[in-house]
Amino acid sequence: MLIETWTPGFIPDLLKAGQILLGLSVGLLLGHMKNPSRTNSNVKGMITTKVGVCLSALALGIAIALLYSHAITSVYLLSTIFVFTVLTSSAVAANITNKSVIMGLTWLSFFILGLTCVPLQGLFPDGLIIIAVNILSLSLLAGGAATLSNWTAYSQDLLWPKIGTRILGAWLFAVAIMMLAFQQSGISF
Amino acid sequence: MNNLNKLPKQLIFPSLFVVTLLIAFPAFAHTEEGLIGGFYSGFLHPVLGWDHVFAMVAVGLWGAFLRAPAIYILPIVFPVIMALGGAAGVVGVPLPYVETGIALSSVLLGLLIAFAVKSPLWLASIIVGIFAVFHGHAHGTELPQAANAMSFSVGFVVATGLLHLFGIGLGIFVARPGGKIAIQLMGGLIALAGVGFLFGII
Repeated sequence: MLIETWTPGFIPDLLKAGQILLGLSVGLLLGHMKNPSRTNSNVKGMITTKVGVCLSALALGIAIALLYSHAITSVYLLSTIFVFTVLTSSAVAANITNKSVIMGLTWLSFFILGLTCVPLQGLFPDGLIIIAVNILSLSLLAGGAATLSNWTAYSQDLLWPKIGTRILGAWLFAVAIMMLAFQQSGISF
Repeated sequence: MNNLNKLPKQLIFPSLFVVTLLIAFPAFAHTEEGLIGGFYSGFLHPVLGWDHVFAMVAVGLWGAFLRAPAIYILPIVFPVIMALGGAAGVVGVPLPYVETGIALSSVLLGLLIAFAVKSPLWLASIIVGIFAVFHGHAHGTELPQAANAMSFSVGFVVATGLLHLFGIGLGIFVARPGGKIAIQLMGGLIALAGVGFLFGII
């Protein structure tokens, strides 16, 4: 089983993969939020981003506290990250336009991403470097996905990239569902 | 959605790329091991099974036939429902007549294309969704023991999506002179192949 094989002090490969999936889906969701067809959505999108960053900082604090009390387990983290990937990617694929849903999902996803940036049974202060690198790379990933999605939303002539964003959302959803199933069935990764 | 009709020029190269992927199979040693092997196994799983290939292409063809929004809704519905079926297969939920369901997907989707059936979007989504469960379940239960589960999942989802896009790429020629007849003929061939799968002839 994967839990026993995880090396203390490092973020395991599977969790990194989960972070990438969630980072991508959050980025797509942010780009989706900034669709110009929605009134004032740009302003809301910026607010979402700022609050999301603050929440991820808060999540880090909570995660570090939980880490010292050994309350974080790999199973909970993995389940949570894949569940949130399912939720955010389904919002993208289903083209959900409800601002409350989009903002709520984005905030919570940032929170979860912040939590997963803390290495399990991390060795401090070395663990802080891992946290910093993870947060930086995930921010770049989510920002890149948001920029790409945003660019397609503003292009007037290209309809297929916009549809491609939704199809990509469906693919992320499918992979996340499968990962949850593999985790539940105890298949080693 | 009118600019969907501009697709042919945009999709020529992606379609050729997918065809190349389908034709060229590089020789990998230990294909079912590790991250790359898992992806390769997952990618080949829908591509090497003709029953999967015909059904996936049929979904894209029918979507293109029904035009927007079905042309992009069906390729979204299929992987989402397929993943649920795959998850059921992975955790051991039994599903009877999986192979029959897969064969029937080719028969029914082929007939729908052949007879140019203009189904409402909700009905098309339900039909495609039902068949997606069978395809997903087959992928979920046939995971090679040595394959990396994560890259296997990514592989078969990407391959399924590319087959849909290939079907859409073919289906856009429905707007060309004689294209509709050609697409209907393709639908007929898919249905015939489905009958072959159903009775074990192919």
